[in-house]
Amino acid sequence: MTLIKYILEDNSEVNIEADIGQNLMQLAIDNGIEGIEGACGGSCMCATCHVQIESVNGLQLENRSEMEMEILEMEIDDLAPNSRLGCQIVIREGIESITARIVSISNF
Amino acid sequence: MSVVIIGAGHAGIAAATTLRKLDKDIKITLISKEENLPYHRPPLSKKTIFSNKPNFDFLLSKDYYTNNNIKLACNSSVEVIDPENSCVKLSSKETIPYEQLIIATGTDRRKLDIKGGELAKPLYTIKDAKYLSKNIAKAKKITVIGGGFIGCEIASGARKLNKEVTLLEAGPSILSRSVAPIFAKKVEQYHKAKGISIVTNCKALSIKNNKIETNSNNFSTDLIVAGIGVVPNIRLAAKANLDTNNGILVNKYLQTTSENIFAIGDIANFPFNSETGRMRLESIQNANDQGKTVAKNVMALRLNEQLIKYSPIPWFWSDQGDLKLQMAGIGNLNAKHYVLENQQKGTFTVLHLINDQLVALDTLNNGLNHICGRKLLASNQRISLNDINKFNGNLKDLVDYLN
Repeated sequence: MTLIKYILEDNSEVNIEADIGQNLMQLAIDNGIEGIEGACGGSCMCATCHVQIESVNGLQLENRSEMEMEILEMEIDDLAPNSRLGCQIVIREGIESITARIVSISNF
Repeated sequence: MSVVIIGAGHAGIAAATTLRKLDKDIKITLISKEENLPYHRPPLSKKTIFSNKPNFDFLLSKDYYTNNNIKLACNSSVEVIDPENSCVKLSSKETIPYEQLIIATGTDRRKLDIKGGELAKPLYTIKDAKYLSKNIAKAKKITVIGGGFIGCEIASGARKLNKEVTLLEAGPSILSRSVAPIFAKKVEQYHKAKGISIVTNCKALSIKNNKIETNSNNFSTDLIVAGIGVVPNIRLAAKANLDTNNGILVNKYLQTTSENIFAIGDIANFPFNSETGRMRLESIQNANDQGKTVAKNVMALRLNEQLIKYSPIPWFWSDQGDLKLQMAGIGNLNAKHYVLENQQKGTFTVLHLINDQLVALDTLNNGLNHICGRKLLASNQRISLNDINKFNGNLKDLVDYLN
């Protein structure tokens, strides 16, 4: 079990336990977290699951792939070093907890 | 005050969620034929059927509907739309009144109209996906009929599982409806190199047991899958006297010929631009964006405000083996094609220009060019081949320059 803490856009926090293999986009949707849309279903085609990773305990995350980086660079106006697509963060054995701040893009 | 949405695919869900964001109190009823929660459809042909424990990605959590007061009626099918009395009648005989109705019923699978055609299994719903997942795992030899996006995705996914895969395409080339011929050729070469046997100009004539008789050879196989496309289901709309022609005809605001009835998603035939005229799009982008637009227009209609025009930059994608195909814009037969290739990186981009104006791009394993293409098409500036050449084909530099 990995503990995921989402910080929502109103600064409230929601804690969810995640299983290995789940990703931060679908996990948010399955738990009704506001601000994560996941329009493309996790195909790295949009940035509607943008989060900023504030901290990770245990095993660290893999670096952003080139494909993820390209989408982020083009779609996020204020790209932060910890900006990620939630769909690309998959829970692996050894990750103890992740704190992810939701920074949704306005495409509406 | 109530809005009824028929169909809980990507378009219907986008409409419902956007409406709820715009108005906390509006009554929303979402009617779905299927028994399960609304789900992402693209993964079915890209990953779900290749797993022996298929799971499904839902578009929203179960709680979302209750927490947001959206009435999701699953397992319900609409028998009649009655514009005169502003209501829909379900097969359960229940009548639901509406002030605005949104038709998002999508498409039906096209029937393979040959003897034994039903033996070629389709992929459209969760039920289909479960069947295919079980039978792909068991099969050694798999034959796919149809070389469009879905057919190619199924063939390449099966090939990755080391199945012996044959793809039968009735036309002279795979992917001919969707991408530039030179792009389709490139993808075809890739699939052939991976060991998929692609037979073009091959029409299935009949199927008996596991044998397919065609206009060329006969093929025997363990599993036959049909990826032969879909047709808009206009029965309800036609019965309600809405204008239909390859889908339900809507204006630029997505209204049908009845002011309070909108149509969105795969079923909506909308005016695109003067070059292309009317069209229907079967894509996630179109479903999502039309869903959002229709929600705003429903509100505008209620508040007596100006409706907004749907004017998209269409985009699509397809995952085939290790290839990611990404398409932006709409080309046509008059388009001239130019290739940007990086052999070292394995990327390949085809530009479509009509009257020396960029109208579409097909990219292979090049997300950056795809996103840049979307930005260029959205920039409202006329991009010529000369503009692109000035930046040595580096689309990102061109985008940065225009900003």
